[in-house]
Amino acid sequence: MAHSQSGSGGGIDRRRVLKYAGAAAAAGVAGCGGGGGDGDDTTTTTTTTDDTTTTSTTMEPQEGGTLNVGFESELTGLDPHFTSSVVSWVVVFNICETLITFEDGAPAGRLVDSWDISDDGLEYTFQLKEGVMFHPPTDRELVAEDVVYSYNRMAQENAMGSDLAAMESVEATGDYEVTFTMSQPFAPFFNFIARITWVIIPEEAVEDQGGELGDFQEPVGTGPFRMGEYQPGNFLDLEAFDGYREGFPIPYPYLDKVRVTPIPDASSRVSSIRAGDIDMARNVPGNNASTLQDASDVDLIQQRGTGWAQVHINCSKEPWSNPAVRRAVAHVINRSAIVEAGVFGFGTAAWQPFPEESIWNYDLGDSARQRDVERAQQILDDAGNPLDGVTLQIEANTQYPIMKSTADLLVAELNAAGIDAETQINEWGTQLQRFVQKDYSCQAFSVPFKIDPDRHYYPFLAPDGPQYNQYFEDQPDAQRMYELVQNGRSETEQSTRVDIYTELQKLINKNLPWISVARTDDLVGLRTNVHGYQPWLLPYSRWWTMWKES
Amino acid sequence: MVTRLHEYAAKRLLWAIPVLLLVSIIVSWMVRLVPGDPAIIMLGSDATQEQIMAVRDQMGLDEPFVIQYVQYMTGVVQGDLGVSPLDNRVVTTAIISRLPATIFVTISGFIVSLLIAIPAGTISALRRGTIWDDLGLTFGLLGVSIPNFWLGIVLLLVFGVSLGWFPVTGYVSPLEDPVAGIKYMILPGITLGTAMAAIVTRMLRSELLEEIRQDYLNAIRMKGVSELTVLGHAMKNAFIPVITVIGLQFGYLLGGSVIIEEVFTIPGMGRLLVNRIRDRDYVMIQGIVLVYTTFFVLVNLVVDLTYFYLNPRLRDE
Repeated sequence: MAHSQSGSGGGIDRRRVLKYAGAAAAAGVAGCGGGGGDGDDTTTTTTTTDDTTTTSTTMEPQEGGTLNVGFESELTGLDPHFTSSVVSWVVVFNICETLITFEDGAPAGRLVDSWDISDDGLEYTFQLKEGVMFHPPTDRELVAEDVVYSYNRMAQENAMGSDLAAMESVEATGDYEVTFTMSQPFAPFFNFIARITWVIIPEEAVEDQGGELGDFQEPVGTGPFRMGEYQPGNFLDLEAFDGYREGFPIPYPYLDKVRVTPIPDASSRVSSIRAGDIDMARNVPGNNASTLQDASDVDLIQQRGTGWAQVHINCSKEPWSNPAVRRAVAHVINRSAIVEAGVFGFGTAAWQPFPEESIWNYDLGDSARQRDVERAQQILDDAGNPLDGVTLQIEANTQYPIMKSTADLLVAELNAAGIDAETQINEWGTQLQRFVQKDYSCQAFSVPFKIDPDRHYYPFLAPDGPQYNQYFEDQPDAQRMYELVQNGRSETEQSTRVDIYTELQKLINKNLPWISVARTDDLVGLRTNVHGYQPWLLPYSRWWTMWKES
Repeated sequence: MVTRLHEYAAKRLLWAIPVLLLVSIIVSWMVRLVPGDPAIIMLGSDATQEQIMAVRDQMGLDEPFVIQYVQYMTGVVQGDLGVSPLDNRVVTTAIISRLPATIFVTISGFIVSLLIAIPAGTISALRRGTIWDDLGLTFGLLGVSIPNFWLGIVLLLVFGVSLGWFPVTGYVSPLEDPVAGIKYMILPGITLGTAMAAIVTRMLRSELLEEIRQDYLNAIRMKGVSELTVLGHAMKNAFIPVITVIGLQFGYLLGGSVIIEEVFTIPGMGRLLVNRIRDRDYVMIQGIVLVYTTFFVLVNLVVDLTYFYLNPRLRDE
């Protein structure tokens, strides 16, 4: 049976979404399924204050004003199909729109009213909303040809080419109907199109700016805000787009303007919000959180589980190629200490990427290896003490505290267990290069959650992918794990995919190409006169729902 | 009329050319020695090998270093510093837009340091052995010992957050709004200028102590002039070596502005440089370092010329 859905609920009745998102956030039950990526993705949202929920429903939203937002870094490129900068994605999220998005864990239309997926998973048909306008200077209605143009642009190799490899064609089958044809079933596709940067843009605006990938630095979209003045490094203004879904029951966006100011130093960012220079501070580090918790005019918003920390292992390198070594290390690791030290308690110990509220959270039974130092020593003894005379090296960097803490504490625990180990600190760029080139033995790592589990598993394990963990056929259960990552792609029934990934995650916990360590939270500072904050699946703010109390 | 000063200036400017060439070679070579593939950093861990290869090709990273360097310098001599692959920004445009902020921060640090150092050094020397001298010496010690990023954060917390006298972060160009612009520059200026003030205070104190012991001052006094005029003569001579130190310190202020821009969120060249080093944006790094070097060379030239002008013995030779 074909899967048909209406996306109008998520797209039109925003007042309902506002309430639900708030309630879901307060209850700690939020979405799942995705987020934007690589920046994509994730899952659960929870707020530590109920301010946004309460005030949103009890106070009448006020229109106008400027929201000043402090960013953790400068914007590096704004071409939606080319940039890989997280802060740029936040801006893109408010200027341009994707075909679908996720609301309360379920897919919902953003630019489409409904969709249909064929039984064989080879054809996806979307019905576009009518009357959606592009920002000036394009100033015309979005039609199916814009979707075709945008997806062909994304399909270039240095854009999202590899993610769209299975897309055979995209065609306008009507003024407001688009049909994607796949060469083979590719289940992650439907989640991928909700990724933040998979947005629809007008060809003429791209041509006006040079036409090439990377040239579109003043994005024109259909979103609630349009690009205003931009002084790189100083500020970027987003101005309310009057034509945003005219006739819409809620006058989104409430704000007249959002001013984005990069304040890379975390202490300065926190000082700025305390002084009232900015209304919202993104990415507050755990060690600065208490300062905001103590401030009477600032709320701390905690969005749970937006990052995932692991210890990655190169299974082709001695002594890590020995499964007994990996198993022993997995029993030594002290997850709760790492969460305390690395993110000051703003996170949870984790044995899998997705949190409990997510549909992608798996019942792992007893496959999760708990901390048990005696068991670790027993495993090594049984294996003939392969670590005698060996010093394990755990790579990390100082840019991401969770990675550094994971490495430091793992080394300390290994030493306490009588295993020689040391931390090797590299600059982040160096560490990443060593990882991508598989020129490492063991690295503390962290990634944002992915919109689809495929991205958590396929590149790391599949023989036709980069195989970052070098988990070759000589490793236990390798063939079965290869089959599972492949089946996860080709199976389109979601419940079956959950079963597939459950089995895969169990095998990962058994054989440990990597060791899952923790899920980390995202912290945002918000002045108490700012309301309507709705956490999304990922830490990308929807500024159009927010308003300022004058 | 061509004077010795002109000749000297022309010679020094010509020398700047090999210096800049050498710096361009060293910088271009060293950024490529630093581990971390720009394409990988740009694309992140999810990138496929094909994606990485496509971006590397686009950046021209697979060409030999010599080819990359020659291509780059061919553009540079024509005034084209290249285009950043990260955001398609023309490097020259990016630098021109960031340069004013860096210059304002540096100048504000320079002014603050002289406003502190000249009176402090003078009073310290003239009131030697008194509490004023002790205060001057203590400031001289503390000023060079306190890390400026720490001082910046403390100033932010006290005068920005607690007292609310100054904006905590941000930047307004003094050319657009002089009052707001100066307000934004005061804390960064103090943070940046403190270390230089301390060094110049100590230097001026010791030079002035040396000078006020000289006999020629008594001869001047015998002409019946005021003590202020006597001090003026002493200061002029004491300043000759101090000028050299000030010039060198001005160069360090340019470098120090990198950290100040980060702490106070000033959109200058320094912050851009830090970001782009992290991103391995070779073209942008090379362009910014070349501009910094040019400034350093020019500042040194101005200092030498001032020294030349102030020191009659050099002029007469």
